[in-house]
Amino acid sequence: MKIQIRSINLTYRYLCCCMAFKLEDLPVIEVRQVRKVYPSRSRHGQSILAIENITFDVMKGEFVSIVGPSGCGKSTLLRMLAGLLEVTEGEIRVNGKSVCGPYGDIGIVFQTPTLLKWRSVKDNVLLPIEVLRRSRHEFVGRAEELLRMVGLWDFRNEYPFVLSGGMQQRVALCRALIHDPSLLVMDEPFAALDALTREEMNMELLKLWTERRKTIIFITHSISEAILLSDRVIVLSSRPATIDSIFSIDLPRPRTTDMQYLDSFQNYSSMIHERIYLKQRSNI
Amino acid sequence: MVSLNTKVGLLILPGLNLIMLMLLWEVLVRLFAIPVFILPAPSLILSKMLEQAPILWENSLYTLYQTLAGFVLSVLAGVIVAIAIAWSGYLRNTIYPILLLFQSIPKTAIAPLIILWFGYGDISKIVIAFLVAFFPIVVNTAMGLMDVDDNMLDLVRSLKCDRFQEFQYIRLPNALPALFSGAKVAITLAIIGAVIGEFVGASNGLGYLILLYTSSLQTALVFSCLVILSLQGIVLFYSIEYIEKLALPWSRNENSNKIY
Repeated sequence: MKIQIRSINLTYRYLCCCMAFKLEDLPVIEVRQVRKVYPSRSRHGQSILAIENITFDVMKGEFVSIVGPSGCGKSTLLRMLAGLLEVTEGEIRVNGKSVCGPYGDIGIVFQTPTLLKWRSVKDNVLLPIEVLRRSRHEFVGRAEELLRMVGLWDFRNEYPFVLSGGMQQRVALCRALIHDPSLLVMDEPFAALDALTREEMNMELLKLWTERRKTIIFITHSISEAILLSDRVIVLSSRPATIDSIFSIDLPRPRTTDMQYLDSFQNYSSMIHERIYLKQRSNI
Repeated sequence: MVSLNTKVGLLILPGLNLIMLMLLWEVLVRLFAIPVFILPAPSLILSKMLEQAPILWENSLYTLYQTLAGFVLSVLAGVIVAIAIAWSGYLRNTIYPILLLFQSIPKTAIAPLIILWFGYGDISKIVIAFLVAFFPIVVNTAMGLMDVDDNMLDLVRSLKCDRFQEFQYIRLPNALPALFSGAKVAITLAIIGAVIGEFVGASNGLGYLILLYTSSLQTALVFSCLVILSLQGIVLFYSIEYIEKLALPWSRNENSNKIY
């Protein structure tokens, strides 16, 4: 166990060195020995250890995916990153500041679009601006520009119910970007979409990321999606979640969908697959 | 042939059915020579109604006023109480049991008390209409305020929203459809409340007229009052539905409007 942790630490240091010249110096996110225990709900119930000793950094402008078996605590991690959930032990720092409670400098995209159905598409995109009490009219132009980028400018005055699932998720993406957060967190954002739309959305996300250089944490179930998009893939073990391994994806940018058929892609894929499923099998 | 699915078709068929029913009623009453004070024929009801139109009109306005006043009060108070319930667990735990206890008392049974307290005038009827209509508004609105997608709350909370913003941006708009469906139940109940109040003690209103005409066996006029009451109910119900459509264009049938 200890050896494994040390090796992870080493990989992580090694990666930091590699990244040092590639990306800007400061990590946007620092997760330090984070542990999360959910207290028991009933008197006789047991408390649940969801996350055990997780440590990783995410550099500025980096695209990091988190994969792992279902129910391993990925969403718990996300909620802690957003300051919506307290860590039991350890520390999470965003832009050098310790996270205690929501801090606003984050954009979240959920698996479901969660658009407010009583607001037009444009007003949905502008919601964060209003909640953050910034001047709305300064951001209207930006909202329209974002909508144009995802091809939904024509629909800016429609209510969300006229849009398809993929279109709604694009609106949700615009909403997550409108206040220019330093961190974008996506919780299986395209899992509910069909394969074709999903691929299309992946490419669109990469385009947005290249143009705006956001730091992105992307939680997904799909190994190929994780490899296709990310600089690094963090593999979590099943509950309690620990970092099983971290893969640095050394594929050229810009990425294209046909890279999936490259040998190196397949290699990453089988390695990650092995990490996830070997662990599970050994548990059985 | 009019297609059954068009708007015209939807209006014509029930209309025809109603006319057939009236004709049947008329024929049966004449055929079996039923006494007028037991069951008057539709034609007689109509003619009596026209004959007494001024009195019926005046009194129906009283009932309408009492119904609407009680209803509006119930919406105002109901929404405020619902917000209190949704605002904090403490308020929820104190208000809800009292509300349930109160709701378990039949309002008809306390109508005499209300008359005793508020007198024979309009106020007592408004209070009864209010009491009857209040509960569905509170329950529906509170449910709408609390039944919110967790992700939606996470989204605004991650942006450091405060409690007021949470209600302003998420909970209140989310509760509007539920409020309207509560209001549709409440408006029909409010009419019942007003009529009960007039039964127990009043000197005007349709409820008062019904008692008056029944005691003097003018059954045709009793039926006229019933016709007006049901018309009032239908008009009020559909007015609320119309307002809902205007105010909440986004909450119309969510699937049928999908164009992509």
